[in-house]
Amino acid sequence: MKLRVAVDGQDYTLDLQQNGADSEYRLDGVVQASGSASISEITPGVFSVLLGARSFLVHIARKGEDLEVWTGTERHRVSITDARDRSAGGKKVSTAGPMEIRALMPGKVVKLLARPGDQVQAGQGVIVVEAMKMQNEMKAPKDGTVSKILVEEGATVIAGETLIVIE
Amino acid sequence: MPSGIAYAGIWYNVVRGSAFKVFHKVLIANRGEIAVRVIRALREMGISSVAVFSEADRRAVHVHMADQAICVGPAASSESYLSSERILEAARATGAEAIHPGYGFLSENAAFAKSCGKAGIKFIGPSWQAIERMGSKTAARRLAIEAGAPVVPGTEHGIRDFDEARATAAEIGYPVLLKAAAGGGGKGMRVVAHESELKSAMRSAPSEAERAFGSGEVYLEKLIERPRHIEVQVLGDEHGHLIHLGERECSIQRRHQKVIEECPSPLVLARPELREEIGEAALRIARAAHYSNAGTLEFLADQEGRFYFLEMNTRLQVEHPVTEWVTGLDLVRWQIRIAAGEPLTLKQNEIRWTGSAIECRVYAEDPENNFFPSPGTILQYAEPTGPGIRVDGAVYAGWTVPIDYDPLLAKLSVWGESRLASIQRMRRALAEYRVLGITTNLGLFERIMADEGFSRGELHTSFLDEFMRHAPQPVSDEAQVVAGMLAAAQNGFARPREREHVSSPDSTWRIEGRRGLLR
Repeated sequence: MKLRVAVDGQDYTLDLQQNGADSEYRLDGVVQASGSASISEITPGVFSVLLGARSFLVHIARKGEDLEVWTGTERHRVSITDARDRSAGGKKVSTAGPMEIRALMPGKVVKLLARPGDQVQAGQGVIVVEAMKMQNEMKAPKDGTVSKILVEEGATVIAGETLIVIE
Repeated sequence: MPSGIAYAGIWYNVVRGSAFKVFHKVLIANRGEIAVRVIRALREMGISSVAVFSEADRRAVHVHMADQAICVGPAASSESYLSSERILEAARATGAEAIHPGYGFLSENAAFAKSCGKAGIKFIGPSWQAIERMGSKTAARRLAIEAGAPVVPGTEHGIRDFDEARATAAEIGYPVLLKAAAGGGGKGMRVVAHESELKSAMRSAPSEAERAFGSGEVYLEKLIERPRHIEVQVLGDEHGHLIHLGERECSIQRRHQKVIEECPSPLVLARPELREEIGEAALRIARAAHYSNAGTLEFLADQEGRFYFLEMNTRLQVEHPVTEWVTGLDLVRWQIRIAAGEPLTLKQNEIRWTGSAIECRVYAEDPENNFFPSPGTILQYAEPTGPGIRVDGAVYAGWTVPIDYDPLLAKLSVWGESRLASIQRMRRALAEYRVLGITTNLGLFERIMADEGFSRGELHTSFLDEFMRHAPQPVSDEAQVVAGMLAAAQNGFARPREREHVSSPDSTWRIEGRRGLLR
């Protein structure tokens, strides 16, 4: 079975063949490796992996489309697709044009530091959002004009909600 | 060491046969790991526990661990954990004779302690007068000066306005610190390096203090450069006997909030006489405050070991486990015994400090994203175990960390024969600790424990800021990545239906097991 594996954004191809109790693997990408491994799910989401004689305990949890994978003290975001499935190219991130300031997490708008039409500089604080007893001053991502303020002081916001637009 | 501390059975006999009134039921006016810590002590002492919780905490650990649990209001702390009326009502309704306030929330609220007294309910902590005396940092500072303890140069009263702040700052010299008189944990605190920064600090700090503590009073003091944060644990009974249990060093902080604490302080390891000096200074202040129960006096120390009193925390500290490790004492049990009127039978010369203990505060936060909180649902959770390890936590797989409160998940503390052994043990424990589903600071602790400067004990309160700027990113072990990928690939082979149980706390066999029990 040939798989496309992305680990923290790095792409690999993994060829995995069952061979009795063990698996033969061949990995291509920034790291190349091949050999024989014994992979055993010892409890749901917990795997004991023997690479030769080296022993690893791996915890896996599904987070949205991806898997969160812990080995030793390392934590990685892994996504796996069948190598034959060739969809989804990279998304482009534009830095020109209007930019939105979004709430990083659910919280409450404590203070607005800018008004519509204000000229702001990159790094200038424009809004203060409080979440988990912490105030976070969010800053303008670029020089520009505050074109829209979509929330009021005291408003409760959800993660990802657009707060301010800067053009 | 008196036998009554180590052997609960003996102590109960002593108490039951004497004049001390033992509590039968105690309410814990708190949540999270500290509520669990207190419930554990109560259970060990044969005392019933009453938990209070907000609507956001119905599924929290302290609720199911306590003997009784009462919902005291909505998620907002001001309407639940901070509501004196509702908490006292819960105590009356359940017949609790005493209230343990934990830390934070109402723990340093003199008015609440006073209300408890009026309601005939014992507040497990110092007298309300002592809380009031030490509650304002400016008042505590005046008292320390009178008691002959060293303090950091600065104002002894609240700053009224910008003009006064400017004049005072110019007098004591920049850099200065602007701090909330009623606060702690870095809230309402600003470092002001130049006069140009003073205006914005004077604008934001008082309002932040007002929101966090209900008082916008701020004051100014000289900033000691590369200071170490060293604090002293004191314990006193209600009959005037007061001792200190040594120091804790808490210099590893982010945004003025502690993340790693240890005892002994490496500074004390280098200069053993410092423990007695700073302990004596702490006792002078505590005596002047007529302090009883557990309390902590915080000091700033420079790298040469000169120390200055900062403030007193009139409650149990988050980091009390490191003191418990090295002294062998149970501070929560002593708090309860002292509140019941028992004399503190420990004498200063009986206190021994053995080995070294370190604590890491495990937070739901992302060190790579400015330590921003990262609440969410914990999908998998495994705590370290084995020799010399203690986890004071209140989380489980399947639990959602609420956005409404401090993101502390657990405190991992270890004991070792030496500081080196303690660091090595912490690294081992961290490698066993797994929290999946949310981002935590566990990986950061691993890197700090591996740092040479930390190992040498070269600590100061900016350590973590500097570490975050200069520390090399962790180097991945290729074999670990490969093992992870192989497990992930194997995980992916299974059909989705079979995979559902991975993220669900109720796996099929567990449900089957429960059905079996019901039959």
